[in-house]
Amino acid sequence: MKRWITFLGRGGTVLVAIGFALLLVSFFPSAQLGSTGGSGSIIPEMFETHFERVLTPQQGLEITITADGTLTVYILEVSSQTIYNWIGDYNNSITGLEEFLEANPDSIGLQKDMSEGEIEYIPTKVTNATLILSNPGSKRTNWEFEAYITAIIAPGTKVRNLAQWTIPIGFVLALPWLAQLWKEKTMRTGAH
Amino acid sequence: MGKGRPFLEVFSSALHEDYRFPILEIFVFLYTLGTFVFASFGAALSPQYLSSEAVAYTLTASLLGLPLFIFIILIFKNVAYGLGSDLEKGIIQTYFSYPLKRYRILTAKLLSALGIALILFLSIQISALYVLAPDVVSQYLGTVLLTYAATLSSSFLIAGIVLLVTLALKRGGLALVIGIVLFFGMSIIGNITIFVASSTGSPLALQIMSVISPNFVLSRYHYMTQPYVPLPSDLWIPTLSEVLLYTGASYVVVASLFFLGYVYFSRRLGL
Repeated sequence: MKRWITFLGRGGTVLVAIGFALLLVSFFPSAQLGSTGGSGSIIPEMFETHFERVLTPQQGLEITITADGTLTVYILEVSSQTIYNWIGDYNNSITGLEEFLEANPDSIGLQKDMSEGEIEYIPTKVTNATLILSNPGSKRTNWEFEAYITAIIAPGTKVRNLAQWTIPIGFVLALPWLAQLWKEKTMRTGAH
Repeated sequence: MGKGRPFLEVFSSALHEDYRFPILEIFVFLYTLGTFVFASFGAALSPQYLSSEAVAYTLTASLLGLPLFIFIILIFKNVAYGLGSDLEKGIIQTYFSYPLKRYRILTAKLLSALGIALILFLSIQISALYVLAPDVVSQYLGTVLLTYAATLSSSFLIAGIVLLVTLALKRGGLALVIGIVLFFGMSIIGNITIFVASSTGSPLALQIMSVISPNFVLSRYHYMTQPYVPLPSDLWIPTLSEVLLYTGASYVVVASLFFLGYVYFSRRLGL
């Protein structure tokens, strides 16, 4: 019984150590590597490609978008050339894009309908990232965006969520062992 | 009483000595932190490396600098200092009174010193890599594991030498120093090997070095098209079979060293 308490206790303290390391990693600030932006308008049923770069899981993309109508924002994990080659023309018709996405659902890194707000994208592999704004509505939409490429050590939210699980589980497992250690220590002190 | 219980007694005693609180926790903390801090996709930034297993190799190899050194320190501490002080203080002699063959006692000690350290090192690093780049790790798990196998081989070789020196001297201090000197010496020899191969235009030096450190053959396999390696790109272009062959050969060398250690511990150790 005592051996099991020690075994689980040390397992718990190991989990706590892992959790604290993850928590520390999640607090490392990101560094800005570069930025780009622009403004314009999209006519109904059309799309535009705006930004293209190879990103790694240690590089994030933060985009702030303001528009006077609802736009569908995509970050696709392919180059714009791949999209145009697949569609077969440079008409930028939303139909061609939708057909491409239907045939290549794995290429969608992020998809969001929005008129204003911020999105964050961190890839899970080394990949191309192409920002696409598409206007599925029936009126011309004016837009403005700013994109920041950031260098990160690890995906903060994911790592923090892991730490939030491992630390309490570790403490629960370690508690009986720590209590036993404390009891042994007080008994030794009392004997002296 | 079966043979399992005394073995577990020796094993748990070795665990208790090797990983006193909070040594294990400090190393685990450093492994986790080091994995994220030292992870780098380096050469993978150029588009031609997209979807290539070279990305998985580059990422895994980037972790095998300082985190590997921390792992080595833990192993040397356990083998040289742990086993050495057990020999010095006569604890090993106490184990000899157990109904256990000598080789089982050494197995229990090595399982604690090397086995647990290796399991922790690999499980933490591979899990952390998965958190960082799940698509790279899941798609190229074989490459990740092969990179670890090729890189850890030379560490185990040094650990085997440290074990032999510890057993021969029956104390760990000098063995620990020899281990650290050998670890850095291997890096120096590695650089000299590259220089010799580059100046002679012969891959022989690289091939000999690959038998004790198969990371050389693996790096040639992955980096053969990259221009910044100071070697002619056509000097030696190994195939995957060659990589596996050299890695296997290196583990045969490692196994031979540990076998010598077992023979010495079982038959020659004058205790």
